[in-house]
Amino acid sequence: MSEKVDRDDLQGIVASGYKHLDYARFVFISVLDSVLAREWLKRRILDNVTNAQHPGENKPRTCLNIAFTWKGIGALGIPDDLIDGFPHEFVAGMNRPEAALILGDTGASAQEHWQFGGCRTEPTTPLHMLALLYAKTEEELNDFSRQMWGGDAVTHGLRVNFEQDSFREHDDRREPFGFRDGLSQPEVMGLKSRPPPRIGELIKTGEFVLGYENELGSRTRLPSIHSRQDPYGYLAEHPDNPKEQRAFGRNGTYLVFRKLSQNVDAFWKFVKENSRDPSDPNSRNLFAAKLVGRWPSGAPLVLAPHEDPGMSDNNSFVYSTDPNGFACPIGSHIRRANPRDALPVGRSKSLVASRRHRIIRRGRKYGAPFEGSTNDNPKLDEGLCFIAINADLRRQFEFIQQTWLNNPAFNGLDDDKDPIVGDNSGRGEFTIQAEPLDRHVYGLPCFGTVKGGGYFFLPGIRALKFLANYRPAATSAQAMQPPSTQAAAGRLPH
Amino acid sequence: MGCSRQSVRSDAVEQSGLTVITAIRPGRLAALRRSLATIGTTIPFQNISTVHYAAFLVLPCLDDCPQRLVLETNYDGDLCTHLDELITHGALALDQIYDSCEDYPPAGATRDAEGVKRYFKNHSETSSAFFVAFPRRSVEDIRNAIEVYQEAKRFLDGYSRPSVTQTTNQVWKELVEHFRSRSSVRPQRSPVTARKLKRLRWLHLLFLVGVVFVLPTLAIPLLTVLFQQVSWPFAIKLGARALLAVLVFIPLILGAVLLVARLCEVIEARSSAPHDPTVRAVDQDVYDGLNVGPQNHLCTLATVRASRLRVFMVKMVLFVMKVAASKFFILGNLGSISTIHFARWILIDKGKRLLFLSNYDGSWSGYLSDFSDQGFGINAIWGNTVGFLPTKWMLWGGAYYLEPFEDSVLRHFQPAELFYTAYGEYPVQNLKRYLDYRDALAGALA
Repeated sequence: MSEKVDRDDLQGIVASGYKHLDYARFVFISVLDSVLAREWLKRRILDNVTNAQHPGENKPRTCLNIAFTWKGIGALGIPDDLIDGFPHEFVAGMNRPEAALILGDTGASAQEHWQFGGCRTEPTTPLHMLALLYAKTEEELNDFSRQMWGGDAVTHGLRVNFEQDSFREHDDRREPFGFRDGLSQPEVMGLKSRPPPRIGELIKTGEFVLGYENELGSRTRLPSIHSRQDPYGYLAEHPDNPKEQRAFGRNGTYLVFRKLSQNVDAFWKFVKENSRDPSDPNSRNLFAAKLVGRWPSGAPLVLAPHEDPGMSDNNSFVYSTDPNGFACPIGSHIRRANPRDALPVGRSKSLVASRRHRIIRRGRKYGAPFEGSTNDNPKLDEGLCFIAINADLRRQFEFIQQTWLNNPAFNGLDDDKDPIVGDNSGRGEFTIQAEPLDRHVYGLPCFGTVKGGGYFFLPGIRALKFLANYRPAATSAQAMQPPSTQAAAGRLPH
Repeated sequence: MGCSRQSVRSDAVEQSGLTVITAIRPGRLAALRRSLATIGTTIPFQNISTVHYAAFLVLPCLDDCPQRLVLETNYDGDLCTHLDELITHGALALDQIYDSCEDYPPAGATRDAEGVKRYFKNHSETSSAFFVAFPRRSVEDIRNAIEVYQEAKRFLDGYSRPSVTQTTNQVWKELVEHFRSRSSVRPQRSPVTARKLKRLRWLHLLFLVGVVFVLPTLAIPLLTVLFQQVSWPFAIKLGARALLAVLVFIPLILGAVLLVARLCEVIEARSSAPHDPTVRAVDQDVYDGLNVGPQNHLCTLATVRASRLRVFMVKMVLFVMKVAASKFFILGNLGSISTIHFARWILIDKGKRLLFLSNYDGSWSGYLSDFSDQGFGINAIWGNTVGFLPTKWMLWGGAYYLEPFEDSVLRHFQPAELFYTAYGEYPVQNLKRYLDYRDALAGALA
């Protein structure tokens, strides 16, 4: 039993990674003037934001989505106590005091060093909004960009704090280390684009979109407002209290953005130093594959433990064929990020548990500069703009980081953090299970450094309209602007 | 007042929990917090080799009592020796801390050790139920297991492998030889092993089954034959009837308990929610206290509902938990939860309040999620408290709803001001492996 997902109201990035668009720009914006900013949302964004409807044959050449931090919602003039039900993780943010421990943002990844979103930059250039722009060519990207704020953000009450460009060759799915990435995405009930897989692999909608049933059999808390704050009915009724509450969060979700700089040289140097036969490319690739869990071609190690079988989209595998980790090490990156049936609670319980901690990944690599790119890109900095979408930050993204990736005792290991993204800082350890003896590799450095990021709320289209049309006023009855005849949300004013 | 030392076998050592609750002098909270902060996590416990986990925390001011300081320790051996050690090693620190508490002997631990011991004993509370992950394993025992495992790992890492035909058995022999002749680390023989504990658990189960089922079935015929001069066949029939009675009686009793719980629930649902003095604002203090490292401390303070039935039920369920924890959950797991090192439930303030203290591995959200998955245990205990979620038939509903359950825990959470762990980087599951490994080595060396 699955509820139909309202694709008109859902922002497109949840349903699609816009594979056909090779250029992307992530724009981090501060709101300087709430009135002008809301006006900008109304005039420039609402008509251009991409929803999750199937585009059919005519795939758009540009796409736009927009998300807000808690501070950003406040900066738009929305009072702090208007919207009820945002979780602590979102409100306090990705750089809150206890997050460093939870996410492993220590050492070089500590927020003091972040380019945006950290304690150094937040006081003067706070993250309020994140605009995600996608285009087919760089010209179209730059045109689209100019269209957004017509060259001068200040006139719209905005300041552009940081822009991160991303470019990839068409159909190149490799991340900077050279591994095909993005192969494992959850099949979301109600949003599956391919022919349905085995029914057991479908994940409930509510894991990724607020307002629907999740894998716990309930609904994640839905941010809501009192009905009188929405007299023109931009928002849908709250399912638990239709008369008095409106569901601000319906068809919304949380978006995690983390700029991860990848030290590609250090990675391959470490691989070479620790391969059995450093002069043999297959031996080097095998060692690298042990760290990642897949061959550079994308083929899963658990299915091909000795040799790279070549490019593979195979994501339909389990680890119970390899319980000791002899094929795919227990601490390898993909086996940690999604243990499937290999958690130490038994196969079926593990599958159930794994389904509760999935994320949709929409990241893009950065680093290859293109002409006309707006960011100064020092040649050596390349990496991943990691983007994750989930309805419950605590149970999904943060859980994966804390309990699986950065946990030195993950699944029976002793002192191993994730070899690719764990905070290893030179003392890291990696265990390659083997018979009769495990092999321990020491001195694992940090291959990825966090350069900035934040937690954003990706509102549904109706919620976006609500935000754009909000007007703080003396009486609550005047708080909303009436919808224009074309933009009516489908409800008559009371 | 000397220590009446119980005859302690030189091997098996029991683990116990000390909970000392003392009133904080008015206006002294800030000074107390400063003392705790400056003392840090290494004194006074680091020098006390028999303490597994320890914590200091502050209970809020309530209608009938002021702010209170709680000292929780989880220790080996007898209380007297433990207190002696605490005072010997921590006299200065204890004086500094307890200077802010009422009734502390003015001479302090340095000059009036007996007085301080009396003070702790007089202010200590008995746990209604106490769970230990590794019963009869002392701190020394566990540390030895960790050392041996690390030494074995070092040896095996440096082990030159002549060929791939070395079998696991051959490697094992070399390892044993290494510990026999070359290693400075010695695998100690432990008073218990996992196998012994499994056997013990079976014994306990048999005992329970025996008392409940076999005893009436056999005792009644035997007694009637002896005293009533009836024939054997008749006595055997009586025995069968007794067994039938037990088989019917037990589900009836259980059913009655559930029914009584349901009645309480229905009545309580109809009346307005009672005032919950132990609820708190969920602020940054809470989130800071929840996440301190790879192992964490979780303490909640809840108010037991005022009705006599509820008070009776919470005592009864805690009694069941006490038996279950001490007789059956002795292999590292509390039910399906395998991340708890120590946990205790205490009814304080004449049974009005329920204090829960636990030391566990991993994140608080993972911890609560594990509890939520076997929510019936939580429901049976905390369903009797104010401000908990509505349960259904005592065991259902309630904690099975994860988000509201998390909220309710956060609203009753008391952060630890100071948290000490004797082996804080090693989760229960890993320690289990290390202990088994070490025990096997010790056995091979003997």
